[in-house]
Amino acid sequence: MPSGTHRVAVVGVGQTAFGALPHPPRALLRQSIHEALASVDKGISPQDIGEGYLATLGFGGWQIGNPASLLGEELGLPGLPVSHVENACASGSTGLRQAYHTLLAGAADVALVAGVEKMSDTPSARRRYWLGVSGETEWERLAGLTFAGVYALLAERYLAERKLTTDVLGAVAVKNHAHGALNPHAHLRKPVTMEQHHAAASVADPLRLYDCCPVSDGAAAVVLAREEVARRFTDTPVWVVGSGGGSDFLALQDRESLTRLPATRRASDEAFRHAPFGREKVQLAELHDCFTIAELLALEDTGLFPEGEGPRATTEGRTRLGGALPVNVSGGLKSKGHPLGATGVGQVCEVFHQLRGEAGERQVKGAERALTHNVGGSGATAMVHLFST
Amino acid sequence: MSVVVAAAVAVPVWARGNVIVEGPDEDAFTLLVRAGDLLRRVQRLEPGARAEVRTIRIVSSLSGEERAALFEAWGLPPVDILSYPENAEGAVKALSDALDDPGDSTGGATWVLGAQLASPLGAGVEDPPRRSAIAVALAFGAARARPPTVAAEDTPPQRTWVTGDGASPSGSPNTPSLMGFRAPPGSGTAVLLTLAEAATRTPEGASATWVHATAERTALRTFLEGRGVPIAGYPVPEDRTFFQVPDDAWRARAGAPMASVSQGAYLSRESYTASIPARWRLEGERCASCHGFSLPPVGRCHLCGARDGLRRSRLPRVGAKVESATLIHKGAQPTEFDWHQEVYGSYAVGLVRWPEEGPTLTFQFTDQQPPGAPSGGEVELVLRRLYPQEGAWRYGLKAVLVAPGSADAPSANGPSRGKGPRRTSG
Repeated sequence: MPSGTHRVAVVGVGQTAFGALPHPPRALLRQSIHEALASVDKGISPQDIGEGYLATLGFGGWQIGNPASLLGEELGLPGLPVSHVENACASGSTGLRQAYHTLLAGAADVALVAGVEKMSDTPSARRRYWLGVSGETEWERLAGLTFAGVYALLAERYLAERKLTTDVLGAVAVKNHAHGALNPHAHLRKPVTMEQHHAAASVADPLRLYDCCPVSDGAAAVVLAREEVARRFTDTPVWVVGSGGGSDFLALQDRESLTRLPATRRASDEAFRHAPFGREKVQLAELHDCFTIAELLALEDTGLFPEGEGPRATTEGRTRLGGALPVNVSGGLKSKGHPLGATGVGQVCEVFHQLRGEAGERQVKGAERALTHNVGGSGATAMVHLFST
Repeated sequence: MSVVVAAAVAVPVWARGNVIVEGPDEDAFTLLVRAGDLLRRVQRLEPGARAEVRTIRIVSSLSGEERAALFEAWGLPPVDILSYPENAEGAVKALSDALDDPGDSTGGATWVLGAQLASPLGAGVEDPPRRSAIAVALAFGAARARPPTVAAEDTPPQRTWVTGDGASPSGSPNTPSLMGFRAPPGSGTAVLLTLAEAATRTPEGASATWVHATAERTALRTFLEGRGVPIAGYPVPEDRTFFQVPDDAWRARAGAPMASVSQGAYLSRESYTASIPARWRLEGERCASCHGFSLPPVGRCHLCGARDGLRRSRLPRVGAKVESATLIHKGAQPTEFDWHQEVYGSYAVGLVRWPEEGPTLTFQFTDQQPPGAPSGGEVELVLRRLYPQEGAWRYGLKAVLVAPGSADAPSANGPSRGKGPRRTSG
């Protein structure tokens, strides 16, 4: 194992509940940052932080420019070098990757990554603007597609080629809602049955209401430290041991495949290249399930399951809490919620608690190694990160 | 003298006999485009064959900008357009002038195009931005282009009738016919239809002409009788039920303002206009190195980055196959299509691929095509309205399913997919 060379420590995490929240985005951001600082076992001072990354797509739909400066303000650290990172729904994990590289390069000892989104209180038209703005505009969108439609095209093709019914989509929804019901931070804390899934309104065939993640508000923040200084903050850090990124053509129409996301495949390969363990050792995964089809794609694109095995693994319960490889025990985007910029950071919060045995009812017993996967848009960008105790 | 050598009628789908279609996305402009395309097809003109179209007489209130855009859509160099008032008298005059035109030495044809722009609800419903239309087009070959023998022999093959989009209201899709067409009362359409019919039978008209008009009989009678066309009668349209759905749609839409401020994908008028060759005519570039097809053309291969060896190329409007399709329900539409959802409900969108040429593009299906079009189903692409912005309609191609796919259609994601050399995923 290439000890030390490719790992940085997560020493603290903070996350607001995800959902339709009454607070402005800045207040959400403040809450998550201070919770993250307070969670550091041996304490941390804002002055310890040397670099900040803010992941957000639309903030609240109004602070589009320069939102990262708010990190310094909220920390009482005006002057902190900060950057706004944006890769649509993968913004959070992109911020994580930036911080990871910054720390590995030795440019800072401690970095803060925060993500925030506020969408529930914007008018419907504006909300759909923000939800659709990360897709390809001139052709895809002007043919009448938003992401629901784009993922529907993927799902239609996936089901047709594999000769599957929407039961497999329903199985993902039922599982992730069951998980989310156990998560006090989740947006939709209610179980859903297969009958409810099938009876729900169609959004974009073959996707129905429970195939789609909710529109959520929320913020999440994580504090990362170089290995050399990590023990100053905690004796039980969670290590980031691999980071991979990938991208693809923005529009579906230009992609080489409709039934896989090459960006995820590239990201996963890169993440495992330097990791001290292989795919077979992963014990839990937070996969990007903005739509149920996305989780099915990710099961195989990350390489956690062999080609063709994803649907069966799902319907047989292997990805359920208690199964061989629990997927989205947080509830995933589907049930925990999807405040775009906060999503990828929130995944780290979940993994941090899981690997430290602090996840309560939804704890994966004995979990020591985890994977997070975060997709921008319909696969134009993707990030995969690996964690271990 | 001139004779009719070809006639084509582009009928909006919502006006076709028994076919009830909820979402008219056609207007005078798109129908005139269609009519011209059909004319060219029956005339067997090559694209850009300037000599073949000398003059266009147009019975429509299109703006100058719209008239210029017609040539963009046809992919033809502009020729003179003579405008006539958008009413029955205008149609009569245009047709008379064309028939009286002695022609010239170029042998070029004269097109007479007409589009009725009134709402199907009739007078009193003002909705200019969404004006509906029924277009009728006639092509008249100049005498010197078409030898006098044509007229003397009155040869039937010289008179090709093509009904709108190849679908005949009589139920037989390939039967050229106008007689089964049921015109909306008072639309004026029937006038043009009948003029077309009359023109092909004049002056040696073999049989009496049925006149499918009601409101404008007087002008029509004047014209026909003046030319010695025997009139057999004036049947009253017997069935109005097919108008009920569009009526509701129109009523729902009446008075709603056009979206002028984007809450979505703002594509400026300039950007849109610049994309017209790609958007309307599928003009792109073929790469000599990787054989990839780039659309729109930007002087660099979209797939392999090559800057040399790019050749201008146009994708055909027929022959693309459906790879995947979905039906977009309320709430899943971009804001530009809010009006579409409000008035007409769900619409279909699909990825279609050109099996020969390679590329895949995304199109909305027109006419409420069913979703989940079987893989391998074949589409034709037609110019339709997309959405309003900045007070004007944005037009683009939409897909019409013309042949269903077979259940065992080859997988579109098999080894053949992709526009260039296959990339290996990482």
